[in-house]
Amino acid sequence: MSELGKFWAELLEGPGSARILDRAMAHAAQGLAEMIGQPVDHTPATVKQMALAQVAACAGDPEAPAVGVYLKIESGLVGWALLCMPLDLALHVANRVLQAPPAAGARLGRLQKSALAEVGNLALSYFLNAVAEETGAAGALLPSPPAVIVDMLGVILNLMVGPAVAVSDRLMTVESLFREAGRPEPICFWIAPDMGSR
Amino acid sequence: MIERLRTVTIGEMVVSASPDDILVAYGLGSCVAICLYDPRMRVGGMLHALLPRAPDPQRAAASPARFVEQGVPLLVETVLRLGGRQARLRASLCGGARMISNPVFDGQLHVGRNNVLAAIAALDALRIPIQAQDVGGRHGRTVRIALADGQVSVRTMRRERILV
Repeated sequence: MSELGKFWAELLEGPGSARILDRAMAHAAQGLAEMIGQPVDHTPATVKQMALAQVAACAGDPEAPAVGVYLKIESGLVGWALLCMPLDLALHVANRVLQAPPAAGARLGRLQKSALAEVGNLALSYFLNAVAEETGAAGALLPSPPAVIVDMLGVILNLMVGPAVAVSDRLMTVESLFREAGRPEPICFWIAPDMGSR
Repeated sequence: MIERLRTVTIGEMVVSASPDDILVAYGLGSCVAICLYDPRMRVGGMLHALLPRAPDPQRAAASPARFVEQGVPLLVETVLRLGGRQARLRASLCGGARMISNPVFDGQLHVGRNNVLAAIAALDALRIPIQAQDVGGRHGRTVRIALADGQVSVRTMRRERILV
């Protein structure tokens, strides 16, 4: 196993991994809360493995309109991250970030997409910073510039399958759901290790 | 007639001779859906492939439906086994979008286009005409084929249309 693979294995399966991952997700939720100016709860970080065929429908109706912020993890760990939410919630989040009244956000324009890109960037940066603090890998974990995709949910989720398919039958993810106080629908946050580096 | 919706998940192939079946592939981004139909026998199938070709022979053997080059001959062979005739088969090709344009994701930039090219080549090699296609762009698709009449429809975020 490569050094990167050992790093992932230790992070996902080693002693204390649940605590480290949960702290990292809590840190990401905290960053999100600061950005939108509202408390944000998070579910405990869970490591999941699912068949590639299940991914498109793992978070609800695959044809539902949704927004995904897709990032690559570079340097010390290699993998991908996806922050995904229903389209209506994405409009709400973008308007909170932009401090715009709800009526102004009837459609997801360039400004709103830029705000969501920042949200994704911040969530992953906060996650990686917490991991780096816990593991001593400071400075080695960097997020790529984000890509914002507005499309059907299944299309967005299948983005995570592409990099995995050449090397595995299953997709491994670290998952947490973020919920703004008073809103039922979650923002889903997944980290997907590059299984090729395992 | 009670229609039966059968999902063709990513990297999967479904073939049927039941006219009640509607085959559907959700979440097509850079993936391609290749639909085949024999109108006389009313048999057909759909392949939901992710990549143009397998990275190694082991992967090709283990999961041929994930890959266009390996999946298309298998799809044809399986439709023929259900009674289809190769000379009557008509194909429809959908998907192959470029979902991300950021060069950081360089490995994923041209997958859609390469999937489409591989599908055209694979069908051409088997002399199966492509009667309709809805490929490329920067949007995802849901694709359905009804085995009662071979109708193929494509749904995007903005619209739904009958392709053939």
